[in-house]
Amino acid sequence: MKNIRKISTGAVATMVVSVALGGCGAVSSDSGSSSSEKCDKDDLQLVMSGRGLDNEYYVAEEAGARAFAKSVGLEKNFTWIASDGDSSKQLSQIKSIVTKSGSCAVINVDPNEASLLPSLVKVVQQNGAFLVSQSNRPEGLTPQGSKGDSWVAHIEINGEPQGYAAAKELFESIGGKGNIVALQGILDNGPAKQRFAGLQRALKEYPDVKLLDDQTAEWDRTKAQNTMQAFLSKYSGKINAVWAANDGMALGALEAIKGAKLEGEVKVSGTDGLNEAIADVKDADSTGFVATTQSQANALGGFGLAIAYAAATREITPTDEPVDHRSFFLKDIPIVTSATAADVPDPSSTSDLDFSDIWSQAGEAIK
Amino acid sequence: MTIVDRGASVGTGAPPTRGRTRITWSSLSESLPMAALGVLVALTAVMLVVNADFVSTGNLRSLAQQSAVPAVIAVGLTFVILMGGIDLSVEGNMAMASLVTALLVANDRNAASFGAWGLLAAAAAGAGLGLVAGAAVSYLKAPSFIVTIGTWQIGLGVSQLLFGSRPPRIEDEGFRSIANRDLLGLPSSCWVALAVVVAGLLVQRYTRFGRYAYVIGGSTDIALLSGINVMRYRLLSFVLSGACVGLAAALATARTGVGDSSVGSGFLFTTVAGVVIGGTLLTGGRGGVLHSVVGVTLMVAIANAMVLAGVSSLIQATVQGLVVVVAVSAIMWRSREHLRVVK
Repeated sequence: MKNIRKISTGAVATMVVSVALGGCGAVSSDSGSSSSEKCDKDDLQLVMSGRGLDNEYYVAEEAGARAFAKSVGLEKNFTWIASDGDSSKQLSQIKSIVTKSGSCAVINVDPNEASLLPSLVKVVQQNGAFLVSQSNRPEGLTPQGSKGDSWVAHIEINGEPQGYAAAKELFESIGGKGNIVALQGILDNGPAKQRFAGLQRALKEYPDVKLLDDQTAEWDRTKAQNTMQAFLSKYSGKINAVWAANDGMALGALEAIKGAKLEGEVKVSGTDGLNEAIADVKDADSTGFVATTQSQANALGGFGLAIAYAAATREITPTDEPVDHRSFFLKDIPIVTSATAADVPDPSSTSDLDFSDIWSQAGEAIK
Repeated sequence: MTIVDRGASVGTGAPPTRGRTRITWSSLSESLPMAALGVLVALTAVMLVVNADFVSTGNLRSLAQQSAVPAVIAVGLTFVILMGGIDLSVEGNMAMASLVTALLVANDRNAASFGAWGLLAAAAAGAGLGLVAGAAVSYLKAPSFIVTIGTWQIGLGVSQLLFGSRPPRIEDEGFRSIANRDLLGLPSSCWVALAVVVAGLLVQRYTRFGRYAYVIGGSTDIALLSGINVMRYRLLSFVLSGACVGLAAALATARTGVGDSSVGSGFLFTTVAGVVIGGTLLTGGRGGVLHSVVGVTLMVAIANAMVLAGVSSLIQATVQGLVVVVAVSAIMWRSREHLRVVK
């Protein structure tokens, strides 16, 4: 009895595998022949890939990308895929999409880590698909330096002016002099480095502000709370303000400050524009949370996909575009303070995104 | 296979008669985590020289508050590890339980307002995930190492489903006060943790489940031959571990004030390393709740001491890892003598 069951399961498995293989073969030979040809608009597969929708940033990014897909009438062809912070998963997901859809694949990807991008670019090039990357990129690797049109563009948000502007607002809130501590992101992350460089530029302009200590809390709220508690013991009564590289850590630090009954006295700044942070900034007088930035994740999601789409539909030829259309920072936008917090749109709102000019958000070229 | 050198090591977590037995180092370290306490004392001595703020009231209070969550996790984890298993689902389980808690107490997403029942609900959710892992481990004979990586992902997946588009923010100040308000000089969460630790000790000493845990971990074969229902107790250990993790997640969520799927990040390392440093063997059969709790407290103290000592962020993770390796080697030093095979 047992044996028979084994054999029949085996047979079923073989059948399933052969059917699957047959299916695959048909699709890939199809797209193989059309990889250099223009894809029919209705066949385009619009894909946005990021970490996961358990994170406000990616919720906003997905909303932006979906809004673009809707604007060209292709919402049903739009897919969000979550890498869950797993690089090999992200690579295999993108690989399966591009081998299936070839030049019909339009991909906007937030690579899980910089070192993953070269492999992503390679599979996209091999299959004639179109890719816009964002945020994470290894030093020296650029779309303009890549072969062909497949790697259309690379977009980033420049963290340096963000870190600088938030720091400046923070320093002003303590009257331009006093002691601060800093909570850094994961130290080898691009945005973490850029934002900290911004803080350091601001420190040079304010010689009376002293950076007592800086530690990484790895973008993590609970770690930031623990580290801030340690800072408050170490520099008891001396800390006037905390600069945090993101809002999650700023909110963690704020909880530690509340725990020490110093809410409102020790000022806090963050970056990213999380809803919670903006709510605290509105009430800066009592919370002490004086500044954050406005989230641009929806623009990264929407315009990234729009640019890849323009290349796939041959509206643009990437190799003919100027350098500042191939790798660029999004235009800087003003930071959020108690004066402006009430007017900040919801990070996931897409009503402000106007896709008629796909370069409207392109700022300074990335060198 | 573990070679058990002394018959006495089976079930010595709580020797029934203490009467006239001569107190030796080894009998002491069976019931108390002497080595980990030693390292804790050494760390304190070093910190007294480097930065005496380490022992200030404020800092000790922070340490107690920060230890509460990992201590609760460690209590449950101890029983799984005592039986020779491992529960790696801590972070995913916490993610799920954190969202469950935040969505059941007063929050800015729905009308629920179950107050302190949130703690129970989180523990129940965690226990449910533990039940899945436990059933697969004991009845389907799947290795706990892989199964709990699976339940980790399930927990993470559920938390993503519950997340919606923004983290639910807790508006129940009464619930928040579990973590933030003081009761008799300590944050209430410390008292919750203390209660869990005491309950864990009682279970370990005075229940069949607790005493059999040592037998099962010491030698599953002997346990089976003695007619112990190994499958049932092993299943129970995962349920208990899940419940503790869920409760810990609720405490952590009360502390940060928001349902967050990354609330557990880093806790797997802190707790597993803490349990091992405390002297609970990953091969099972030795150690105990008290060992584990001292171990995780040591882990929290190390992280805190590094900030106070001003160790550069760039090398902090390395230093922490190094301390763990050195501490474990030192603590396990004695085990080498007994031809113990380390898996």
